[in-house]
Order: sequence, then structure tokens, then C-alpha cells
Amino acid sequence: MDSEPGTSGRLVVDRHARYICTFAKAVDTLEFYLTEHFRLSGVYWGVTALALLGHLHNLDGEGIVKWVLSCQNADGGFGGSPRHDSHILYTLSAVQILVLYDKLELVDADQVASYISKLQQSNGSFIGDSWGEVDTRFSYVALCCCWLLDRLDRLNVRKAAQYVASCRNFDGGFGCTPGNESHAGQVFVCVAALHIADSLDLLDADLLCWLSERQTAGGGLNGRPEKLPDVCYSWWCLSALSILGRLHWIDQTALQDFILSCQDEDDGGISDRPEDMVDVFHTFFGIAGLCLMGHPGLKAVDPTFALPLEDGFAANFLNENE
Amino acid sequence: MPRVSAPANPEALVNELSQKVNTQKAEMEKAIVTSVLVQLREACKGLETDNWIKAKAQAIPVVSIGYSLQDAETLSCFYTVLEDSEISLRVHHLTEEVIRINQAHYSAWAWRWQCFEALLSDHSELLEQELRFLQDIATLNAKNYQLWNYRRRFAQFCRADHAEAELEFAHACLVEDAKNYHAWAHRQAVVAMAGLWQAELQYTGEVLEEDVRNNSAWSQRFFVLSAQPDRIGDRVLAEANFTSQKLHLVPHNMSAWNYLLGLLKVSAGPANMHQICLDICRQVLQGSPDCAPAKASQAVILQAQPQ
Repeated sequence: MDSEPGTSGRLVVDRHARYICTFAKAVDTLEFYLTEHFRLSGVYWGVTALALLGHLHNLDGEGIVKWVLSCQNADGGFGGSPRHDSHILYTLSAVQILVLYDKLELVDADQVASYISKLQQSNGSFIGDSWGEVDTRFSYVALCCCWLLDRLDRLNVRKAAQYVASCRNFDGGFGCTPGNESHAGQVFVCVAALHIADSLDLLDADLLCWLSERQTAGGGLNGRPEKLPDVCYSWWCLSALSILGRLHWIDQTALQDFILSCQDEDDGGISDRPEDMVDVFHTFFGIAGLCLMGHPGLKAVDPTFALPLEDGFAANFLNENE
Repeated sequence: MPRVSAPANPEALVNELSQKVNTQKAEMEKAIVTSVLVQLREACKGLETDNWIKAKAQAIPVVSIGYSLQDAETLSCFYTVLEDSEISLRVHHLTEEVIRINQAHYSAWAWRWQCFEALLSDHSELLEQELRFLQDIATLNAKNYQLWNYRRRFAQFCRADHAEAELEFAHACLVEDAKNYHAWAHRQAVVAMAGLWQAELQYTGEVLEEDVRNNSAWSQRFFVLSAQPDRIGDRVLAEANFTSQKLHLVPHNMSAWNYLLGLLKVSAGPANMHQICLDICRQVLQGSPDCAPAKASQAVILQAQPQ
């Protein structure tokens, strides 16, 4: 497939590294304030992307770890920023960042696992925080976080898997709660959750077809039938296929070309689709998708835990324990 | 904020405040500091230090990024209120201001609910106000997780006789974006609560008239079917006919093929369901011999056929 006009068709690694580092330091922007409530996830996307690019050394790791720890609350969970209430999502982001920097010993694993285990409901599902929203994303987050902390036994894993299975739809896909439309993001979290719970047998083979059908004519992947492609699905769909050993069911060349066409080759960063504005979220997922496909110059990435599988502490940790 | 009379040593005071601002603690305190600096500027008007104080005020990020002074004050006021755990009409109104500044502000939504629940019995007008407010926020951004979480809680609180209003709200969002995931999920929750299955089946039919490829509508249809397992067996044939009609309109429609294959998996369906589905494939292929999903579905059905 020919490159889009105006794009070189190559990954501008240095520009992306610079974009992420500049973004990390831009505390004088309106965006900085409006994204306060989920900043911890933003930090995870940024540092993991840099690690995959081989540029993690460009950030002040010590400062980041200190800031991450300052997001922890008395209940053991982490908020999106200091002074924000705990939420299961940011608790995982915190633990992932600490694994990346090999500083997991700085948190009390029992305390964090206790916070998460209290979020499990009687039907096996997980709520995100005291508000009580249930979503299969939280099932994945809980299992992933407890696995990284080596405290999986604090959860009722069997019931967690059963709840995830109850969200399986007629087309083999998964939604947020039982009956909700199949969506690639939810498919990733459910497949990864079942993988951690050693329950991949609960999947329906139709899911594989559903996932491979996400590839559009332009090479990009969408999240549901008849929707536009978006770079973040390069991760959600691809990681699920990778866990299931079916990465070859996607035209990887076409997908790589699509991701590369979403780069801002001047200022760095990757957007959801070509010509749109870049952001750290899509930069991370675009890079992670390229890593899964073995793009040259990038580190391998773990499809279940979304952490680097090469060089560095995360890699050693995952390789030893998986 | 109380008016500050001209301080004896404004430079020292500004230095002290600037230092506070530059420490790592809480960006939002900068908003409070900004207010104080503005007050200082007023108080020091005419003094030599006026220009210098103005320059310091501009150095505070909250002001320089276009976050208006009023917004900053609103937010700092809200954080103070949270620390005091105040529940009152004025706080309920304040949460609206905060949410309008940042619609994803989780704490503001959560505190708003606390106020609403606590105050409704003495202030029945809050119900209408809430409906209007939620409508407004939806027009700003109909894909906001916090909006829909709140709306779900609101719907459950108001219960079944309020269901139509909730479905109307979701429909209004779907008019703007027919595949809004939150809106469809909201409809599922409301329909389940009020038992409005037949009406929802009809609704999906109307949406598919507009766009036969709307995957959300097909998914919703299966949701309605599955919700009444004792009746699903009777409905499978009717649904197969419905799907067949849609496939003749637009043969290359993955959602419809997925739906048909989903119907095939219903154990309570007709005994000859495999044959029915194979006939549908054959008929479509007669009109559109290159229809890949028809061929693929045919293969799946043949494989699944009991020997």
C-alpha cells in the first residue's frame, strides 16, 4: 500500500519521544487542568510509550514515582491526581508505572489488593469506585493489578471469569455489562481478563472472526461494524488477537501503514486517524500496536499487561512470572 | 473573598504567596492565590509595587492559560465545600457551575447526587431542574461517562413511571449520533427496569429503517430477544424473516449476517433452523453471487449443521 501523500511511511521515533516529553512538562496549559482527574493514566500512557520507543531515560523517573505515590489515598487505592478520590482505573495505572520503574516494593501490596478486592461484587463483577459503576473494564483492571502485585488469590477469580463470560454476546464479542453491544475495547479487557483467570475456554470461536472483521479497507481497525477506523483499536483488537494466537488474521502491513499515516511527522505524536490532532492516548496505543507487530526499532510489548517485554524491569518481571 | 487592605509590605507578601504557589502542593490552591493577588493588586493601586504585582499575577498559570478568574474561583470554592462536606441548595447549584467548566469532573457529579438525593423531598422543583441540566450537558457532550453514570442513577431513582422520559432523552442523543454506545446501554437499563420490551423491539426496527447497517440497533434487537428466554423460541423464525428482508435490501451487511448466525445459536429455535438459514444464504447469493459474507455464513452454517 502506498503511503499517504505528505507522509514518509516511517516511524519518527525521536519526534514522538520529544512530543511525549514536552507534553509531560506542559503544566501551564488548560488541558493540564481539565485532564487532572485521569492524569495518572496519562502518565502511564506516556512513560510506557517512551519505554517502548527506548527513550524512558528522557524523563525524571524518580520524580514520576514520587508523584505516583502521592496519588495514593488512605483506602489503599489511587486517584487520578493527588487529592482525587480512589478509582480502580488509576490504581492499575499506578501499579503499572511502578512495575515499569521496578519500584513496586514502595507500595504495600496487601493494602492495594485489599482496596481492589472490596470492589468485587457478589456476582463476580467489579465496581470502579464508591459510585458503583460496573464495567468489564474493571474486571480486567482488578485481575491485572492483583496479578502484578502477586495477590490474585485475594479475588474470587472463578466468579470474576464467570461474570466476564456472562457479558459474551451472540456475535462472540463483549460489552460493558451483559447485553451491551460488542465493542473492541471491551473485547480486549474481557479476553485479557479471561487469560489472567486461565479461562480462555469460555470464549466463543466467533470472536476471532469478529475481531478480524474490524479491519477496514484503508488498513485501520474499527471498534464495531460500520464505524470509522481509529488507531486505538490497533491495540484493543490486536492485543486480543495476539493473546489468542491469531495476529496473522489481520493484514499487518496495511495496519502498520495506517498507523504510520496517523503520525504528525513534524511535531511528533499520533492521532486517531490521519490528519486529526495528536494526543498521548493515541500515541501510546499506536506505538503499542506497532510493537505487537514487531515493527523494527521498537521493544516487544506484552498483550495482556500492556508493558514492555524487552529491556528493563517490567520485562524481567513479566518474563519471570508469566 | 474579603477585601484586603493595603499591606505594609506588599513585596514580601507577594513573594510569600508566589513561593506557596510554586510548591508542589495542589494546583487548585493557585486559584485561591490568584484571587488574593488580584485583591492585592486592587489594594496596592497607585503604589509603586502595582506593576510588579500585576506581573506576578500573570505568572500564575491558572490565569495565563485562559482559565478565567471566575472559573478558578468557582473551582477553589468547590474544593473548600468538599472539605466541609456541605450539602445545600447553594452547593447543588455550585456543582452545576463546576460541571459546566469541566464536564468530566467526577467529584462534582458525585457531590451533586448527594445534594439532589438529600434535598429533593423538601425541594421538589429540583427534579425539573435536574432534567433540564442533564439535557444541557448532553448537548455539550453526549459521550461523557460521568453524565451517563449520573443519568443511570437518576433513572433508577425515578423508577419505571419515569422510563419514557429516559428513553426520550436517550433517543434525542441517538438522533445526533445513532451509535452512541452510552445511549443504547442506557436504553437497555431503562427498558429492563420498566419491561418495555415490545416497544424497544419496534424502536430498533425504526432505527434500522433509517440505517440498516446500524450495528447498535441489531445488537439491541438481540438484547430484547434474549431478555425473555421463555418466548425466544417463538420469535426466532420471525426474526429470521426480518433479517432475510434486510439482507435482500443490502446483502453486504455484516451486522445482519452476525445476527442471523446468532439466531442459529438459540437452542429453543425451530428444528429446521439450519435449513432456513441456508436458504437465506442461497437466496442472497442468487441475487448477489459475489457476496462474501453470504458465502462465509453458508460455510459456518454447514459446519455447524448437526449430522
